[in-house]
Amino acid sequence: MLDWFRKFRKIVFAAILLVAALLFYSYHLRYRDRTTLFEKTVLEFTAPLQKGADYFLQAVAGWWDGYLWLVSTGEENRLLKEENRRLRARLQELEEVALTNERLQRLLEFRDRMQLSALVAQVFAEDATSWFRTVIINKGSADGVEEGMPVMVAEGVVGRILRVAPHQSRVLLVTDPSSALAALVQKNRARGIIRGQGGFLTMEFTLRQKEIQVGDLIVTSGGGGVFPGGLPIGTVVRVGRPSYGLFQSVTVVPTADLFRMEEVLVLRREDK
Amino acid sequence: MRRLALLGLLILAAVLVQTWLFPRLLPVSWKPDLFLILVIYLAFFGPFFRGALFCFALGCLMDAFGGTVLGLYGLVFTVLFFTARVLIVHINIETTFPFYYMVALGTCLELILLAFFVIFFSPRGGGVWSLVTAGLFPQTGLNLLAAWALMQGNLVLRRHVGWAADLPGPSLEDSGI
Repeated sequence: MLDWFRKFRKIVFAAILLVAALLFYSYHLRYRDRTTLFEKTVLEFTAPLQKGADYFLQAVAGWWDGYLWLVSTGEENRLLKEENRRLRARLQELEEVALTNERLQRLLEFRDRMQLSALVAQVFAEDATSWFRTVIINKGSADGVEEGMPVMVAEGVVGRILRVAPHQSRVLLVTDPSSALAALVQKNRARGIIRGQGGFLTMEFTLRQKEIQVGDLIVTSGGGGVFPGGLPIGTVVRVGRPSYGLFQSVTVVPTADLFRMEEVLVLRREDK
Repeated sequence: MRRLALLGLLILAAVLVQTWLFPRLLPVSWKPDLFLILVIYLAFFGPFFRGALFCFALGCLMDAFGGTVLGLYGLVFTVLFFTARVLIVHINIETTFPFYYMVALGTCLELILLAFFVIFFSPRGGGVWSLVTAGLFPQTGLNLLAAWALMQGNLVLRRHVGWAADLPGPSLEDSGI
């Protein structure tokens, strides 16, 4: 018996590990909406590193823009260029402040317009894989963030909170393949389900007799219990009506630029 | 101990590069899968038992950084590790070419396994398939490029840096570096 085990120990080990891995995955699949202690710990411990790296990159970029490209200039222009550099750096700084101000202003205006109680958070890291679409924000359970809370920018829906650690959270973007939300066409109230496809969205289960055109705005329906109704999701870019079948295929591009986000709004639970 | 610390640093660097640097540098949402390359590297040059456990742990770490269900990548990486181990028994791993070949094969297998486990185990996973089929070629290309860069780095380090001389890798004689 022992000889048999020794002979086939690699196969036995591989089989046990594979079954254990499968069981581990199926166990967590059942509780997919909860954040595990492992995930909380990983988020909590690596976030400072990612934030630090982000800060470092900004500092280096600022230094490069503001100083390095001037090093090789001639001595006769040094004073003028030094002055110019200071002014340019100041201007860039002010432009950055103005842009940030503008973005925050838009978020605040949006929040006031929607009469929602919301939390402003900063995006500082993205998904490690190419197949799933999530980002990490700098607000967590200590700030009142909970799993399932909707996340927005002024232009439209971003996604919902997937995992929460004390000071960071992971947001599942609407473009993620596992993301689905109830939606309707703003113009004629045709209903459907918006599903993520990576870089774009599709609207499914929309009856083919409903008239949908390119350029139509898709908004949240308020069904499903996550997003309030009437929030913009995206714009229709393609409509396909097959010669048979109940539904039409609608391709939608998100109104929010999910590829380059800096600040987002987390909508609090009581506003649903 | 030194190898373990080196591996820990390598993983930390891979995490940082993948979650923070690539999204800022690359104009598209595809990014090289450094963890997959590490799994193939371990399958080629690492120990069997510890390597398998390490790949499972690496997968779980990827799950935590990728927002997927905990255990998905753990399972995928474990399957990949064993598959690669079975395949490399029949090939000469002294040269770098089989490594690149396995990275390309591993990328395809990873996508198939991901799609399988997500679609068949989750009611909401249907969209993954279209994403996977659309991204197969760019992802394979990026992974090959990253694998080549990392392998060149490995060869250069082993040849020129003292403390890295005992890092596992293909034969230095055939590398031309």
